[in-house]
Amino acid sequence: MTRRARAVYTVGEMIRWAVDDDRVIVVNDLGPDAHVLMGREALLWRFLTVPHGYGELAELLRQAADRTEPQVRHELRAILERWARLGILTRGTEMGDG
Amino acid sequence: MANLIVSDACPMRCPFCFAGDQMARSANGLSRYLPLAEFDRRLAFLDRSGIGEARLIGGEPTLHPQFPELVERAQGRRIVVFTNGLIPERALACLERLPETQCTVLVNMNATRRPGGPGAAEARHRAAVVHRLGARAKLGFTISRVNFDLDPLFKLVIAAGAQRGIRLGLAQPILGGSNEYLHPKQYPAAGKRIADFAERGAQTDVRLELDCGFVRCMFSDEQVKILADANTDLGWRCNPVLDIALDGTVSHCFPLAGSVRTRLTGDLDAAELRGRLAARTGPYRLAGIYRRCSRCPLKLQSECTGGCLAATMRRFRQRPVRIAVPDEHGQLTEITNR
Repeated sequence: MTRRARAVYTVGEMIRWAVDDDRVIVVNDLGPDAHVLMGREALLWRFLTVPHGYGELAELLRQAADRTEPQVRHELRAILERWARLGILTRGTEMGDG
Repeated sequence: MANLIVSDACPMRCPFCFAGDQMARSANGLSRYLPLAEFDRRLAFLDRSGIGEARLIGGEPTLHPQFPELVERAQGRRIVVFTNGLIPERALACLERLPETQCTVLVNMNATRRPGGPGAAEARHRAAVVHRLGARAKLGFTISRVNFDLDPLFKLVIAAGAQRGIRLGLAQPILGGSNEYLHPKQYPAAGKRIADFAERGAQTDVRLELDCGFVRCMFSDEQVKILADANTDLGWRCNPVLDIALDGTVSHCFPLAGSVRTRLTGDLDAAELRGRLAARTGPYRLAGIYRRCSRCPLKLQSECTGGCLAATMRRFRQRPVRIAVPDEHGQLTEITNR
């Protein structure tokens, strides 16, 4: 049987966010830091929390910036990794049926 | 500044009450009062914090069965009492004996037993108390609706010889609660009315004093000038008040009592407690009550805090989010499960 591994990002229970006019402010309720997401990151966060699937996210970002799908997927991964480093997302792995 | 909660008893049922989280009444519905020995520890806290003012609050602090003893023990400090105005005779007589210069009894004029507002008998009782307190009394009013009226308060200030200021508060939301409050969308309409009343009050030398949670943008430039000309005490602030509950819990303020708190322990002073609470709320301060606050020059220059922190924190959302991502090439990594 073939199974596939994929990265899974989750927003923890302690993460709170407020959508402002031109930014999203993300706060860890347990931590001292706030993160201000601007531009495409703010757009992505808003998409992410609606919620959409990964494919829909990539398509929405592509439509928003007229980029190719590979470019958008690359950017999306980079942003998610950055957010994981900031602690506003948690990265894990899950196995799924092929 | 620190408020000492000495009682969680209150016969009022104000729809805008934002003390609900703080007034965690015991399960059997009995009210509780701060023991005198604990009150002494609170006074020691004030002393080591360099706070020369004992601010007694509740619930209704004057319902404390040993209220005169509390006042006696707090002597030597300026005493401020926050009351709904329906003060028991023994407590009222005690307050009447205090020198006018050492005491302020802040009477909430729209505290009410009924959802529709104070009834006639309640209003008469409250007015009679204000008359007896004279210059010890300062009137307070909580704005929970835009169509408020301060004219009767101006008249009462003059007739009773009360302090020539009316303290205005905005009804703020309890974080996670369901009290009646003034929605920030209503602030500009309230601001216009405040400016109108400030002008009228100035004609009789009664000035308005704005409590916490007001924002600069609820007033036009012209209205701010009117307020300044009327000698209004203007402030666009929101700071940790330090409300110390019966059980020693210290909260940022009533609206945040259920969520932003620490404990009064050991030799902690007010600055340390305030620092702890400020650290807890600091990240949320980037935002304000409006979506535009975080880029507002007045907020960025610390001239306006962006309104009540409880109202700001209500704007923050929380929801579980989960997203699965394919590998770098858009393909799922294949793993063979033997």
